Amino acid sequence: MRLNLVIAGVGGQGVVTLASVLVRAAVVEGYDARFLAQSGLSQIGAPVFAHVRVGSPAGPSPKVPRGQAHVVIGLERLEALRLAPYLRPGGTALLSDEAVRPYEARFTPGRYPGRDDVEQAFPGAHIRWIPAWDIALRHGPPALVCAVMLGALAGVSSMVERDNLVRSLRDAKPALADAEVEAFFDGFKAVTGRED
Amino acid sequence: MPLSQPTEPSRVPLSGVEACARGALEAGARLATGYPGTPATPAIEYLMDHAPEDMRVEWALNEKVALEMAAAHSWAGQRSFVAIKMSGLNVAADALLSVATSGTRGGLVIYVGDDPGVYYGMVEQDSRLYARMGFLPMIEPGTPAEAKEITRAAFEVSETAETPVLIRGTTTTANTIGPLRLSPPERIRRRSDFPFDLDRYTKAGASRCRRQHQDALLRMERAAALLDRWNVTRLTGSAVGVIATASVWGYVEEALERLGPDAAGVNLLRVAVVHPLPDARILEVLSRCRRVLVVEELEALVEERVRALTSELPHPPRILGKRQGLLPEVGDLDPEGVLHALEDLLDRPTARAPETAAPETPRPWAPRLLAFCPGCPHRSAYVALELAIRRAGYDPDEVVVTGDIGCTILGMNPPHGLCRTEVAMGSSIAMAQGFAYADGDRPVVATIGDSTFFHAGIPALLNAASQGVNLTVLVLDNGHAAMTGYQPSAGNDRARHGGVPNPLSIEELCRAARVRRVRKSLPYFTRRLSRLLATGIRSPGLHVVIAEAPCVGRLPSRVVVPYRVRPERCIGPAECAPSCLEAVGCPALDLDEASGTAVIDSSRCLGCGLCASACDRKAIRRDLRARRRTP
Repeated sequence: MRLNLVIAGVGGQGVVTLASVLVRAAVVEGYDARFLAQSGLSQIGAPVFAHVRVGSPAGPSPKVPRGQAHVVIGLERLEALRLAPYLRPGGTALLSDEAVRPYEARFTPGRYPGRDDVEQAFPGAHIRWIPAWDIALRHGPPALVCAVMLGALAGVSSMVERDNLVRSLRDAKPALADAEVEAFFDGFKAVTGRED
Repeated sequence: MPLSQPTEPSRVPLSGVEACARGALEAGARLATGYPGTPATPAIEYLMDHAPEDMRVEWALNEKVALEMAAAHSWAGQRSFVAIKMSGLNVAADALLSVATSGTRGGLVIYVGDDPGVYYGMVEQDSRLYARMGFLPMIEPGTPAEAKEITRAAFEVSETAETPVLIRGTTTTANTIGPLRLSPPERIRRRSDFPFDLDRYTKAGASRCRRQHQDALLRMERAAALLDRWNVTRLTGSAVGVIATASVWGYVEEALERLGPDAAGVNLLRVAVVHPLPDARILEVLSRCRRVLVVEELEALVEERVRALTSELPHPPRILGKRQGLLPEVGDLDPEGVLHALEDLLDRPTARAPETAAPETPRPWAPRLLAFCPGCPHRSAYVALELAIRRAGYDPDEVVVTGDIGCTILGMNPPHGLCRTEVAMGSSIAMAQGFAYADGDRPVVATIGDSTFFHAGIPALLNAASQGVNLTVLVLDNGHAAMTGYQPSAGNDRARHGGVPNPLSIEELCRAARVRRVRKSLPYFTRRLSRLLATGIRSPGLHVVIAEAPCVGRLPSRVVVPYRVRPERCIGPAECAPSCLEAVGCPALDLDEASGTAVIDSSRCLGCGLCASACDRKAIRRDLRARRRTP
């Protein structure tokens, strides 16, 4: 059994946090797990990409091969488009609706993809839009977006035990732990429609 | 449910580059140093957080200084570790070759972060060539767990064979985070001493230098023999083989897994010691095969060696690789490229067709250009520079502005569009001098960050000062090497190990260099700063203007009053030209899709007010109610 996951976003959105919380949880569970963070200059809002592989063994290549990702997570619309080649047919795309417009797109109409442009990029995939930004703000700072998306992931993949994910999330940022967990379960609910 | 289950303490996820640093820690290194440069930065950062008390960890002023400190520390008998990025190895290369011919006493391990694919900028270079030029053994790990063990072994080998050992990380291996088991550091207690040995530690005299050259080659061979256990050969009865370096081995394994039983019998050689190459192992594979594929990133160094060795065989096999264009010489590899190369090796029909046929829709999405953070002092400084150029009576196109490495280069991107060159650390000043000589009629401005200035800008400034060039240098001093993760620069308090802070002064340095006029301003006072710059641009001689304000990524906690767009006054970028969105390029300033007006994210705005001054309609005002304390 193996889970290939690719995450895309921009610097500051928590792509690396999301990947490392998942990997820590998977390691606790006894899986072989690893991720490659292609972060570029994330300090200043550059695109961030993470390839996560969980399994026993996790798979030798550090990058997820194209067409082999079971799930992709897009934290931002423009970056989410880059995920399309990685998703396997019939895979799930968990997409946050957040828009981080590049410079030109802020004053030139039509230079930033809308929701339907993104949906067209994933033909044949199960697309789930998660209102991650709104959920995060309901519980605290925007940084909770990655907890929401992790909850959504738990809703579509049972590879890593949900309880382990929650524990790993609590350990990652103890100061925000309660808000993180609430955001996590709201994300879970947004996908599954159930509380637990 | 217990709040946190006791996690298995021995398996900790670490990245490949952190694992190398951990290896140095466990090997009992007493000094670790380097200069911030991603993908090598996390090594020193990890040690700053985790090193035991008796290990000295610090950022040096530049990579050459770092290597020289570490070399002397090793010559005194102590273990030393250096971590730098590939461009940093260019800076340290002069010292590297000299140290290589003198050898080591205590273990000296140099981690170099190569960046195939250039995720972090600068020249896409293959640092294995330095190992060749410097007669040095170089080893590259494939996984984080291996990275730690290899680093520990490298220290042992460096001491036994008395040579520095290079460890090459690539961006992919350095940034792959995987679980590994930690051990406590070795307790090494040694008295430092340094023998008087001119034959080994000086370069005076031809016979001395020739002997050192000879000794270096012997040490390299000895080290290679000791490190050879990290190379792995798997021989089968098959007539095909794959030779690949450890850093790309994962792709080879992935391809073998996907190709299934056909590929199971392939002869394999996994090369971890990338210099000098394991000739005996290579010949062993070549002598059994009819076709051999060589997989490596960037330069075809292994491939060339393999081709050279085939001449020693009576029935040389056919060598596949970069020469046939099966694999690229530019950029990093990916699982697909390696899979297709293996399919070629095995004469299997490849599934390459859909790759090219995939509809790459040329949609008109805007490129994600990097921009300064909200409230960044550099943005204000570039706005002031543009104002100054106009004040001095020029059009921005008429003035050559040279840029330098770090966040300050973002002055090249819109809306500023000022910086035209980015060459190497500290180059902007000497480049500007060259432009000034080429065209004496037009003013020239060099921009440089503080950390870059200390790294290599000082010699160029002294050169320009001693020649009395007409030149304006704008030093953007935020006290940090921000782009690599906010490491404090030498102009900042960076005392560790209980030392007394001794921040250096760029202003006094410039005065000591007899710069004609040195001025300092807070960049947020754009009008004052632009007056200072305009004076420099208009008048002869060398001028230095220092725009000093702390990096917003490391602001001390304070109350900020963000700005707010009054929607009733804002007519939106469609009607307004140039709008604040176009003129300022601040990430906190965005378009509100619903209303079509500008909107400010008050959680990110730091209240610098640039957007307010760019708005002719006075639609942007301070919002006292949204004031907040920055963390």
